Amino acid sequence: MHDESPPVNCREFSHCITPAVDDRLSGKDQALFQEHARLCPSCRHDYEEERSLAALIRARLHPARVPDSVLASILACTLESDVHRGPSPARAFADFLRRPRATPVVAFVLSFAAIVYILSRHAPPPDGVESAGSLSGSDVVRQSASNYEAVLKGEIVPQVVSDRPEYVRAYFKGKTGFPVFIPAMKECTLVGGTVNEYHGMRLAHVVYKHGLQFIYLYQACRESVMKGDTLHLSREAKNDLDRTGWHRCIAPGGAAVVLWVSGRTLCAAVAPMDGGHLMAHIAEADVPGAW
Amino acid sequence: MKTQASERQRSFEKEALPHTDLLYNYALRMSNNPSDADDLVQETYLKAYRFWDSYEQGTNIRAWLFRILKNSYINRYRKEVREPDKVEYDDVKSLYSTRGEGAADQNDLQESMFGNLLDDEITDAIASLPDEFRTVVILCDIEALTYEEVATFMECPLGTVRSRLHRGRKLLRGRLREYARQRGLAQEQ
Repeated sequence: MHDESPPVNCREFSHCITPAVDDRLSGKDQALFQEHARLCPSCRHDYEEERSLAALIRARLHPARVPDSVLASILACTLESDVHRGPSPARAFADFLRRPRATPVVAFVLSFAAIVYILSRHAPPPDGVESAGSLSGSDVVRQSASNYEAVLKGEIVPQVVSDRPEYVRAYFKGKTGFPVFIPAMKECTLVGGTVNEYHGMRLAHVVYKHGLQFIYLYQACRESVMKGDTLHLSREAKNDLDRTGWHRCIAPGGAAVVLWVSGRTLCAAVAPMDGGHLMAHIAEADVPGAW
Repeated sequence: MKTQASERQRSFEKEALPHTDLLYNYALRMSNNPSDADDLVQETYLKAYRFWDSYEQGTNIRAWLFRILKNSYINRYRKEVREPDKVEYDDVKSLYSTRGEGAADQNDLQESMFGNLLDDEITDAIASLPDEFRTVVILCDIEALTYEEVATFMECPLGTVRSRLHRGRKLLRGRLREYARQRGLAQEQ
């Protein structure tokens, strides 16, 4: 017996009903318990009642999951605390690099990016993204490709650094005016994200690493881009998006760019890999709860 | 200072955040109100983060969080807690007047009767239990925690957990039978 006395009469049997239902009697005591139940219909009835009720609850009621909004709120509060007294983005990057799962090679790549960032701190972050965007014009494809280069150079620095989507999601909450997509991408590790403005238009930037490569997600308000208010898309890209929901092309620097729309968000993924592979990463992402 | 903040947040993330579902589920079942559950869990975690330095690393984090949640719940529902429901064991026993040789067949009938109840009715029946019984039913039967864990959470002996669970289940069965009668799934006895 684990924690009960052997049942020898109806009163003691009654005390053992609950541990019996919860499978907490030893083999020997379970045998004594069953023997008593076999001989005593009244006690057997009590046992069966409790057993069936416990089974009913377990079968019908399942533990609820905390809503994403609550989790995001908790995380936002802790993040805010950390922002108020916490590390700078460069420090956060350095902290990230100290994590054991960052391989030495990846650490070297990220260290390089962090060092470049530190050396280029005179550049206005995160408005540096806007500068990068301005140089590349208002075309979404060119701007996203240009921003990808800025990520590699350390000019775009995540304001939130975490490999946990809920943390990054919490950071974006209420900052953009459109849902920000943070999928769990296969074989990729989330690095972090940031928000900035391009001529008054909010943009979200999310960075992943895949082996030694970075995958950059650029996100904007779909409606605004489609209207061409501030940012615009080529006619070909618009047609593809309307027709298939996707548009794929190669950026001037040779990186693959994949565009797609989902709900109110226009997304552009950029990575130095084959466009088909990049699409596969996105398509195979664990999308539920990614917004 | 910055490093301390970062370490603090990281250890909080690692230790406390994995238990959000457990706490939310408990808060939801206790309050029977999603909005209240949201507030309770957020309040619990904010307090936990604020007092994180007072948490002794390596001790039972779930019990620590649970105590904060329980105190928040009590504060929120202080009025009700001042006058807790009293349940006499005799009242519980009186719910079960049908016992005897035909019990096995009756159980089959009850299985069928309860099987037709809605999940919401089962939820409501649990919500109607007095706090002390509701807590152990939620933690043992829905959260599948061990008696030892529940005893730690509730700061009571193991035997108390077992007896409250036994009595809570009996009460619950009586209330479910009432629901079944109201819906015509069971006849008046």
